[in-house]
Amino acid sequence: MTKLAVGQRAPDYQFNTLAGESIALSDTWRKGNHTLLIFLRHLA
Amino acid sequence: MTQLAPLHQEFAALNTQVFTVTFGHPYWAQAWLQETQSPFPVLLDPTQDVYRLYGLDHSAVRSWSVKTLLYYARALIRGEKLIENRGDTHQLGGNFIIDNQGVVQFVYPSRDPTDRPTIAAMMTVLKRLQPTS
Repeated sequence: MTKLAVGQRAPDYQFNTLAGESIALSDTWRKGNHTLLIFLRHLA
Repeated sequence: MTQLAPLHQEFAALNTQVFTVTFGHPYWAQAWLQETQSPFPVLLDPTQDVYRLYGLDHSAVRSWSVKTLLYYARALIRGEKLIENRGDTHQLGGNFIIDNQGVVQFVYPSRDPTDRPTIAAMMTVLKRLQPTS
């Protein structure tokens, strides 16, 4: 599995949200915002 | 997450959108949201494709290490309630900061379930990304 490194282009992805919306990470960047992604483990 | 939630306004002031990503079923994600009162939007990745895209490990050995078992044992001793298994317990998490040009600025794949970056480390990166006037 390829590991991401600082300075690389981040993989974009179109997500469905829990609120029922559809969001691409690049939508956030286009709005001029930085992104902090927190990948959770299992929901325990 | 309980440590990050109170910083919601501070992240906004740093032009930063925080997202939590989960592979969990939406039912459990909703339950988690109610339990944690997290203010951040939850993105769903049921196939774990994005976990793989971002290079996050899937490891039974590191998920159930002695360190992890001790962590849960101490939590029980403190009287904390452990919630039942809600999915793939071998998938590890992690934190990433991406700037507004889509470039990765911070990479922190968790080495085990108890491993997360410090808030200070993430704030340092976000403050560095702010325009200088």
